[in-house]
Amino acid sequence: MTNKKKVLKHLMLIYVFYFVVIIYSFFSSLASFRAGYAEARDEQRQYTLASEIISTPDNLKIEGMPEDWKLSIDQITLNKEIDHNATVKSEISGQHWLVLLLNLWGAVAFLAVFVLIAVIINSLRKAVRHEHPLMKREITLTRVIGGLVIFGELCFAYAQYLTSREVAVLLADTGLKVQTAFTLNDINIILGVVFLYMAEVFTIGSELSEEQEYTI
Amino acid sequence: MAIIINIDVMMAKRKMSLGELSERVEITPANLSILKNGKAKAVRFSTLEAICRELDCQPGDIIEWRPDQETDKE
Repeated sequence: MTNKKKVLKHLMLIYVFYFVVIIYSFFSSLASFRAGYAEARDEQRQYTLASEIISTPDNLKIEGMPEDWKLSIDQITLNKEIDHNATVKSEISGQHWLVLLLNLWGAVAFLAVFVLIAVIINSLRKAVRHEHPLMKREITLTRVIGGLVIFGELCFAYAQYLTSREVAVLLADTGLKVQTAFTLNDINIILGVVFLYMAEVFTIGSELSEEQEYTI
Repeated sequence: MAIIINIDVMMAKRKMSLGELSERVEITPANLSILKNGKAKAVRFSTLEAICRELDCQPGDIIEWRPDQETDKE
């Protein structure tokens, strides 16, 4: 490989940048983790619903707000204090356990994606250093990443859909119109498709490389 | 694969070993072995030319086409 050093340098930069982003995200989420932990320690349990608002009544105002400004709400979060011993089925709509499960699956899927991306980048570096194509295992992992991203997004989107329906019921008499359509984050879906496409590119490269290796 | 490389026969006729032929043709014994065992996916004309030159034969003497068993059944 003629440009081995250059490729290795690029991969190292990507690897380092990736870990910097992961570490930064971790530290920036520490504040909300601390707040949630403090809340849990206070033994105050809260049931929280969040949703997107697509339409706000024209006459909605907040006291003290200037008259010539119009208020519109895009996101709403509703909190309800519940008994510390409440189970997921008591006092709350029967679908809550499903929302928790979907959010858990989505979180685990994206966590697995973070780990697998690091594994793939490391494998790419080894492949370039030893001048051999990606093995079938790495190609499969790339496909798995693509699948997990799409799966994670579908889980989060369905959980949000169930939550929004509940918020719509609670806000039915307020004039606020809640987004109850099933919406997907297009960026995540495209990202999943990109990973699936990358797997095919790696497959073609691996096959061409094998053919080259067996060309006498 | 339907294309068979019959280098063994010519090597036996010319009384040449694999190592000796690989040295003359300037390819590694491992690669020549891949060719001999039918695992090669492609052969360069330069390699074929060198083999024919050293074994003093025609390409048709060492390359043979045998139909696959599936096509035979058809």
